[in-house]
Amino acid sequence: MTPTNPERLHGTLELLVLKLLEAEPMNGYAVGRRIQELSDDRLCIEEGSLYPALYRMERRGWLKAEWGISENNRRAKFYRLTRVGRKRLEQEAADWGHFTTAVGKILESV
Amino acid sequence: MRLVLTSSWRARLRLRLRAFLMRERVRREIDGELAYHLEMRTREFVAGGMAPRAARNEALKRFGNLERTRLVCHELYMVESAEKGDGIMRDLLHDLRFAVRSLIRAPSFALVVVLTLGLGIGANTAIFSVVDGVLLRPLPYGNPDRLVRVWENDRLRGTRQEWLSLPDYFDVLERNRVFQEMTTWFRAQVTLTGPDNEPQRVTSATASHTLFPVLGVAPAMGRAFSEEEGRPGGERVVVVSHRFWVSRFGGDEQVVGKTIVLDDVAFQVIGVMPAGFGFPAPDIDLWRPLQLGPTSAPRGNHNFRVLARLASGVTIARANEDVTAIAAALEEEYADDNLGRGMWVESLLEATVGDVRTPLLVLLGAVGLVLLVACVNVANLLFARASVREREVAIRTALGAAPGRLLRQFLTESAVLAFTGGAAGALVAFWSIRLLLILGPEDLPRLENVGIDPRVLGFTLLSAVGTGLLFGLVPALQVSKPDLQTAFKEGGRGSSEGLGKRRLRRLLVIAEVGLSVVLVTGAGLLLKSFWRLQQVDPGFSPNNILSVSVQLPSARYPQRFGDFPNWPEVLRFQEDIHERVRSLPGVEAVALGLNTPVDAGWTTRFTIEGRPPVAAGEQEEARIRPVTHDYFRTAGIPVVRGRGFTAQDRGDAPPVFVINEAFARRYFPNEDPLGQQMTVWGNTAEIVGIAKDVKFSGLHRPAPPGWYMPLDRMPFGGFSMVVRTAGDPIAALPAVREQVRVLDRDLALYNVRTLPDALWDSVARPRFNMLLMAIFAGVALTLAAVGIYGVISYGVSQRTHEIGVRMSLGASGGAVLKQVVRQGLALTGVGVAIGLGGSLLFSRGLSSLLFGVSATDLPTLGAVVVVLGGVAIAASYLPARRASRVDPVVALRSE
Repeated sequence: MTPTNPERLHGTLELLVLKLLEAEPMNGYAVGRRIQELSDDRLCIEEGSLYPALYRMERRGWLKAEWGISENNRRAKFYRLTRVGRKRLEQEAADWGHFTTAVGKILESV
Repeated sequence: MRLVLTSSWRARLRLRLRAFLMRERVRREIDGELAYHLEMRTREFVAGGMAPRAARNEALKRFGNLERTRLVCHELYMVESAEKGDGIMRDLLHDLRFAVRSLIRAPSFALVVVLTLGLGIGANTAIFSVVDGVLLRPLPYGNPDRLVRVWENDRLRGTRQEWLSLPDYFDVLERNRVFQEMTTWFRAQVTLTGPDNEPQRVTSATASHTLFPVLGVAPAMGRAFSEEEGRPGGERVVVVSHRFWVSRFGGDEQVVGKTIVLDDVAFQVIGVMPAGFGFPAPDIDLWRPLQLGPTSAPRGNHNFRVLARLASGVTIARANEDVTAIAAALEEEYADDNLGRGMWVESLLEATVGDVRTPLLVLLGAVGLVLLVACVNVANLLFARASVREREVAIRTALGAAPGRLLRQFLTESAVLAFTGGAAGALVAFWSIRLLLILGPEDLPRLENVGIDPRVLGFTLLSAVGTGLLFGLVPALQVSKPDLQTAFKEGGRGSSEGLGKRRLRRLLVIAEVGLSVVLVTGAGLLLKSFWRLQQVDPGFSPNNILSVSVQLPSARYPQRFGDFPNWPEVLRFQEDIHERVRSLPGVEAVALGLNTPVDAGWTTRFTIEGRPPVAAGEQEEARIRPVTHDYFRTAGIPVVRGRGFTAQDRGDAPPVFVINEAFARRYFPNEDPLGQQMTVWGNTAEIVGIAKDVKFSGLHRPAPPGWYMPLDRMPFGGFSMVVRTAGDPIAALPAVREQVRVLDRDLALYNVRTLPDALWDSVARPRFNMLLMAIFAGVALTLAAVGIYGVISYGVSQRTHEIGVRMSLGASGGAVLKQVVRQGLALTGVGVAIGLGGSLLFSRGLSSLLFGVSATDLPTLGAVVVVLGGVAIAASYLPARRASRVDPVVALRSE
C-alpha cells in the first residue's frame, strides 16, 4: 500500500461507495446524496465523477447493477455489493485505517 | 465463390449490426441513469425553492462535464479496463489479450498489416538464407580461414587470375615460408565402365596427395592418398564421394579394396569421403592422386589449380609478399616462360564466392528496402488507426491510465502484429526459398547450403522484432500524448488529425515513394540490361541444335603427343560418327569440333609470319577452335570474307585457317588478313576466311580473338558434336546415343544440351537478378500505391465540408478532381525527387551487374518517373472521384 498513490481520491471515493452499499443496494443518485448528507456537505464531489467509479467497480466485479423501481416509482439502476466487493471493502477500510493512523502519527509527532 | 463471399458479407453485416445494437442499448442505459440523476437533483432544487430552469442549470453544474461522463461510462462498458495490474506477467498477458482482441475487432486492418509484413519479412528471410548459405557460412573444412587459393597473373596480357604451371607449383612448394602445406589439382571428366552398367561420365579431380590434409577432411571410410601414391608411377588408387559410394556401390561397407574401371584403366578404391564433401565442386565424385613431378609438364601450361594452408599466424598480406617475391625470382630464372608473371593469394572463401558477393548484397539491400517500405506502410496504417482511436486513448488517460502503460499497450499491439507478420514471413520464406532454388542459377556456388535453419529463423525473428519497434514506436509515442481537449471536443463526430500528424503521414508516404523509386530504378536498369543481353547477336543460329560431347579414352584410341596429329584411331572414330549421325532421319546437318559455339574453350600461342619476332614470354595467345568443314554451315556461323572450309581441306591439301572478326581487328588492324600465313604448334597455314564473331565466352562479353582450323589437322580425344535437326533437337538424342553405342559400347555422352537452352542458361544470373529485383520493385510499388491512396483518401474525407463549400460556390466536380489528383502527384513528386537521388547511390553498387546501360540511364529514369506518376494518379483517382461527387447540400448539412 502506497499512501502517495495519485489515485488516492479515486480510491477514497470507491471506499465510500463500497461502505454505503454495504448497508443496502442503492441507485447512483442516492449514493451521491448519502455521501453529501453523511459528510455534512463537506465532501463536495463533482457528482458526475460518481458514475465512472460505479461502472468501474461493476466491471471489476465488486458491484452488481440491476434495474429496479425507485422510492418515487421511477425506473433506476441499483447497485448491490458482491462478495468480492465485500472483501474489497474490508481490505480498503483496513488500508484506510492504517493510512490515516500513519499520517496522523506523523502530523502529531513533528 | 460468390456464394461464399455473400455469406461472409452477411455474417459481417450481422456482427456489425449486433455491435451497433449493443452500443445503442448501452447508450440508452447510461442516458437513462444520468437523466434520472439530473431529474432527481432538479426536483430537489425546485423543492428548495428554485425556479425550474435555474434548478436544472444548478443540477447540471453540480454534475460537472456531462458529455465526458457519458463517454467515459460508455467506453468503460465497451472497452476492457486498463487498470494497473499486480505483476509484469499479468500486465503482459492482459496487454496481449487486449491487443489480440482489438486486432480481431479490426480484421481487415490486421490482415493488411500481417500480409504486408509477411511479404517483407518473408522475402528478406529468403534472400538472407541465400546470403547466409553462400557468403557467410564458414567453409566446411578444418580451420577454413587459413585456406587460400594461389593465383598467377600476367602483366603483359593483362590477366588477373590464372592457374599455375606445374613447375611453378613445385617451385612455390619448395621455396615458400608461409604455407603449412600446399596442394594442386585439375578436373577431368572420365568414363566409368563396368560389366553391369551403362558407360557413365563422372566428374573427377586429379590432385596431389596432400589435398585432403590441406582441407583438413579425412575419409569417412578407408584412407586418403599416401605419399608414395602421389609420385610418378605410383599405384592406381581412387577415393570416391559418398554419393558415388551410394549410387555405384549401394553403400557397400566392403568397398575398400574393390576396383573400378575409368577410361579403360582399373583403379583400386581406397577410401570414401564423408557425405556432403565435394572439393573443388559439389559434383566431384572421384579423386585420383596426381602422379607428376616438377618436370612432367611444361612451364608454359597454366592449368594447375593451387590451394594452400597458411602456417599459423601468417596473414594473407604476408603470404602475398612471399609469393610475389618467389614469382619475381622465377621471372628472372625462367624469363622465356615467366616474363611478366606475378603471383598472389586470396582466401578460399573469397575465391569461391567473390563474384557472387556483389549481386547477392545488392539483392539483400534491395529486399531490405522492400521491408522498409513495408514498415513505413504499416506505420502509416497504424497512424490512421491511432487517430481513430484517439478518443479511446483520451478517455483512458482521463481515467488515470499512465502514459507509460498506454505506450506499452500500443507496443504490445505492434509486437503482436510484428510476430504474426514474422510467422507469415516464415511461411512466405519457406515457399520462396524453394522458388529461389528452382529459379536460381545452378552455377551459384554453395547453393546446397541454402535452406531454412535456426540461423535463418533467427534472422526472421530479428526482422520481426526490428520492424515491430520501427513501425510501432512512432505512432505509439504520438498516441501516448493525446490532446484531451480536442479529443473530447470533437469526440462526437470522429476526430481529425492534428496538423503535425498529417505532415508526418505525408512524410511517410514521401519516404515510401522515394524507396520505391530506388527499387523501380534498379529493376528498370536490370530489365534493360537483360533486354540488351537478349538483343546481343550470339553470332550463330542456335535453334534446333543439339550438342553432345564424347571423350575417347587414350587406352583404346592412342593419343600420344609424339605422333600428333597422326592419331588414326581418333580420326577414324570421328569420321565414322560424323557419317552415321549425318545419315540419321531428321538430322539436317552435323559437325564436329573441339568446342560447341557456346564453350569458351582455351587459348594457345601463335605467330603471324613476316612479323618481327617477339620475346618468348610476350607471345600472343588466342582461342583455338578446330572444327570439321561443315561446322560453320551447321551452326549457322556466317563467313563474312574469304571462304570457309570445304571437304577438300584435308589430307594433302594445303592447310588453311579461318579467323574470327575479333582476331582480324586485333592483329590485322591495317592490313588484309586474307592470304597471310600464321603458325600454330609448328603448323604454318594460310588465312583464307574471316568468320563472324561468336560470343563463345558469354553474351555479356565481347567475342575474344580466335581462329578455326580443320579438326583432322588438330585432333582431340575429347570433342563435341553439333547436330541440327528438323524438329525438336532433344528427340534426336536417343538415335545419336545409339550410333555412338554401335561404334563403341563403352563411351558415354556428356554435356548433352540444346544450344537455345545453353544460351538461356548462360544468362541465368542476370535473369535471376532482374527477376528478383522486378518482384521487389513490384511489391514496393504496390505498397506505395496503398500509402498514397490512404493519405489522399483520408484527406478527402477530412475536407468533405470544405469541398462542399467550394462546390456550392461554383467549383465544378472536374476542378475538385483535378485538385485532389494534383495533391497526390505533388506528394509523389517530392518522393520521386528524393528517390532519384537515392537511386544514384544504390545504382553505384548495381553498376557491376549492368550490361549495355549506364547506372544513370536517362530513358530508364524517365520511365521510372512516368511509372510512379501513373501509380500516383491511379492511387489518388478513386478518392478524387469521391471528392468530385460530394453533394454540397449533404456536405454542409453534416456540419
